[in-house]
Amino acid sequence: MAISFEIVFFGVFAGIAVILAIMMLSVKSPVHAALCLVGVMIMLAILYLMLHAYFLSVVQIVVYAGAVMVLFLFVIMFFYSPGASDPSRMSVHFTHIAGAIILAVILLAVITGSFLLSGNVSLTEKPSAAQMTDIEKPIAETSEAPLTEETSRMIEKQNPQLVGRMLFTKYLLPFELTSLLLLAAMVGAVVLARRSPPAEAGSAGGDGND
Amino acid sequence: MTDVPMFYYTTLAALLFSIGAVGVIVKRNPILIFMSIELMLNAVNLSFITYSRYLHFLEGQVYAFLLITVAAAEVAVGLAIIVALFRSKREVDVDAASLMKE
Amino acid sequence: MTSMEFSPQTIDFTAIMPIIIISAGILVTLLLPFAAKGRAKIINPLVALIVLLAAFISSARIWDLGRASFDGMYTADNATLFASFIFIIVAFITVIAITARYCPFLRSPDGEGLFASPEVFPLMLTVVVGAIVMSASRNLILTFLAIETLSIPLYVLAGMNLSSERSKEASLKYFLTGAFASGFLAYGISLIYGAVGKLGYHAILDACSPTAADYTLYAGLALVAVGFGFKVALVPFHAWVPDVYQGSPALISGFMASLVKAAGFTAILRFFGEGIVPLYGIWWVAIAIIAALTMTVGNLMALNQIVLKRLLAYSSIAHAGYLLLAVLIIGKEWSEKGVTAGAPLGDAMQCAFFYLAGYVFAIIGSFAIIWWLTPSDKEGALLEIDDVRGLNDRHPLHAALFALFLFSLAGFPITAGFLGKFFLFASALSHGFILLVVFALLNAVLSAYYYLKIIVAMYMKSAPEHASLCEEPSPNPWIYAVVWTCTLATLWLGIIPASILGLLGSVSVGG
Repeated sequence: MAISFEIVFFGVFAGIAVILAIMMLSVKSPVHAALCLVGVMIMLAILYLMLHAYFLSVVQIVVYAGAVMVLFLFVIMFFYSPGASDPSRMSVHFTHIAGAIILAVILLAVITGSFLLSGNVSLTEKPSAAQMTDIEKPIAETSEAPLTEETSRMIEKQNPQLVGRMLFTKYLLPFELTSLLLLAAMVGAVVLARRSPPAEAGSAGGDGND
Repeated sequence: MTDVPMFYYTTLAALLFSIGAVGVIVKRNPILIFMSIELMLNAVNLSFITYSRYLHFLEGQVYAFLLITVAAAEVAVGLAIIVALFRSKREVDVDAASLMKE
Repeated sequence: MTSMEFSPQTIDFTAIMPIIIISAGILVTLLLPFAAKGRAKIINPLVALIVLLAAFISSARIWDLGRASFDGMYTADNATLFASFIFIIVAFITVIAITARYCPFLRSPDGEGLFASPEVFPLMLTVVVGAIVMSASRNLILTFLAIETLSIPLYVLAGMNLSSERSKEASLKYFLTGAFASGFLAYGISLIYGAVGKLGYHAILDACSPTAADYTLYAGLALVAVGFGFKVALVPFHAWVPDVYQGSPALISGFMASLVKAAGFTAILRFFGEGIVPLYGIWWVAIAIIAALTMTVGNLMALNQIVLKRLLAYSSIAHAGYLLLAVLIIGKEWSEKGVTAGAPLGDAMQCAFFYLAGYVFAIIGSFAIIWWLTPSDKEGALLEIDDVRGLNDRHPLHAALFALFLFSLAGFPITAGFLGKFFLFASALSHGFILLVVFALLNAVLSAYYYLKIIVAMYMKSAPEHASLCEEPSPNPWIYAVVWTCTLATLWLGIIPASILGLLGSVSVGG
C-alpha cells in the first residue's frame, strides 16, 4: 500500500499531539503546560476532522481549547506570575515516577495488546444485526442499522444535524441529565468561590448566612 | 474509505490516556493533575470518535459530546475547589493539603 | 435513517416522574432563597422535603408496573424503585438534620451556621436524581452521566464548610480521585463501545460470550470495574475515603457513606447482573479477591483509628467488601439460570437490598450522633474515642442510641445489621462460596472489636477531664426525629424483617 496523504497527515498531527502531551508533563511553568495542552486539543480537533466528526471538531475548539483552557489559564495566573516555574515540581519523588511509569507501561500494554489480540474479532467487523436484540431492535430499524458506504457519505455531509437529532431523540434523557449536571456545577462553583477565607470571615462577623 | 488503519487512532488514544494517567500520579500540583485528567478525557473522546467512524455508528459522536459536557462541568467545580482551598496558601501543592495525614 | 420519528408520546413519563419532580424541586429550591427573607427561609428545606415526599409517592405509584422509558434505557422496575425509596429516605433524613442545625432560627443560640448556604438543598436533590438514574440506567453512557450527576454536587457538598481547611481538603481529594476514576470509567466505556458497537446492557449481554474472547471488551470491562471500584471505594481504590469522610461535615459524610454506596452498588449489581453475566467465569475470581481484600483491609485499618469519623470511614469500606458477596451470588445465579426479563430478582438482590437498607440507617444514624455531639462552636473539631468516654453518665440517651447503631454495624442480633449479614452469608453459603463466607465471618468478628471498643468507652470508662464534646447537645426536636427514625428503622428491620422481605420478594427484573 502506497503511503497516502492521509497517513502522512495522521502521522504529523498524532506525532505533534504526543510530543506536546509529553512536554505538558515536563515543562517547568504551569502556563507552558497549559499551552501544550491547548496544542494537544487543537491537534485532536484536526484529527476529528479527518474522522469526519465535523461538529465535534468545532465543539472541541470552542469548548475545550477555548472555554476550558482559558479557565485553566485564568486560575494559573491567579496563583503564579507568568513565567514562574512550579516550585512544587522539585518535590517529585522517585518512587512516584517509577510507579507512574510502571502503571503507564501496564496500561499501554494491556490496552494496545487487547487491540492486537482482538484485532479481527470486533474492530474491523461491523456489529451484526444479531447483536441487536430485544429492547434495541425497534431503534435499530430506524437509526442504527450498519450503514452502507453511500448513506455514510450522506451522513458525513449533514453531521451536525444528525448528531443533534440523535441528542434530542434517542439520547434525550442523557442530554437532559447533562443540563442538570451543568446547573449543579454552576451552583457549586459559585458556592465554593463566593466566600472569603476564614481569617477574613472571622473579622467580618460571625453569621455565615446571607 | 480511509487509508489510516483504525489501530493507529486507537493506539494514539491509548498513548494519550496513559500519558495523562502518568501525569496524575507524578504531578504534585493540583492544577497540573487536573490538566492531566483533562488529557485523559480528551483521549477518551478520540477513542469514541474513532470507533464511531470505523463502526459506522454515529452514536460515538453523541457520547463524545456528552463527555465534553461532563468535562466542562468538572472543570468548573474543580477549579472552584482549587481556588477555594489555595487562595489562603502560598503554595499550590497537594502535599501542602495534608492536615489529615496520620 | 433520516426519517426517524420522534414524538413526546413515545416517552413514558410515569416512569421518569420521580426525577422530573425532583428536578423541578431543584429549580424551586435554587430560586426561593432570592424571594424569601429572614424567617421565611424555612420554606426552602420545607420545599425540599415536600418534593422528596412527592417523588416517593410517585415512585410508589409505579411499584410492580415495571415501567420503562427511552427504549429501555431507563427502567423503573421494582429494583430501581426500592433503591429510590432508600435514596429518598436518606435524603429526607439528611435534609431534616441539616435544617435543624444550620437554619439560623432553628439552631441553638451557640451554633454558628457555617455551611448554611441555601444551595445545600438543590445540590442534595441533584445527588438524589443522579442516584435514582444510576439505579435505573441500562445504558453505560447514561450510567456514566448519572454517576457524574451524583458526584459533582458531592464534591461541592464535601467542601461546603468553607471555614474548615479540612473540609476544603476533603473536597479537593474527593474531586481529584473522583475525576481520575471518571477518566478510567469513560475510557473503559469507549473500549466497550468499540467492541460491542453500542452501550445498552442488553447489547453488551449478547456480545459477551465466554468462548470467543474479545480482548478489547475485556480491557474495557476491567477499566470500567476500576472506575466503579473508585466510586464505591473497594480496596485497592479506597485511599481517598478516610480523608474525605473525616474532612467533610459529619452529616455529608453520613450522606456519602449511605447514599453513594447504595447507589453505587445498585448500579454495579445491575451492570454485572444484566450486562456481563456471561463472563462470570472470568470475573468472579477477581471480584472474590477484591471482596476479601476490601473486608480485611477495611477492618484492619479501622482497628487502630481513634478519630470516630475515620473509624466509620474504614468500617464503611469493610461493608462494601461484604456487599461484593451479593455481586458474586448474582453472577453465579444468573450465569447458571440465564437472565430473563420479568424473572424474580432472586436471593442475591433481596439480600443485597436488605443489607443496604440496614446498613444505611445504622451508618447515617452514627454520623448524625457524632455530629450532634460535636461542639458547634468548633466546627472542624474531630471527635475521638477518648472524647466519648463515660458518655453514658452524661448523656445516656445519646450513648444508648449510638451503641445501637454500632451494634447494627457490627451485626449483633435484634438489629438490622445482624439479619442483613445473616441473609447475605447464608445465601453465599448456599451458592458455594464457603471459603469467602468463612473469611467474611472472621472479618465480622474482627470488626466487633473496634465497635465494642467505642461502646466499652462509652459505658465502662470514666469521663476525661478535657473532652472536646458538646456540653449540652442541643435538645432540638428535629434532631430527635432524625435519630429516632434511624433507630426505629434499625430495630424494625431487625425484629420484623418479614415486612421488607415480602416487599423485596416481589422485586423483579423489569422488562
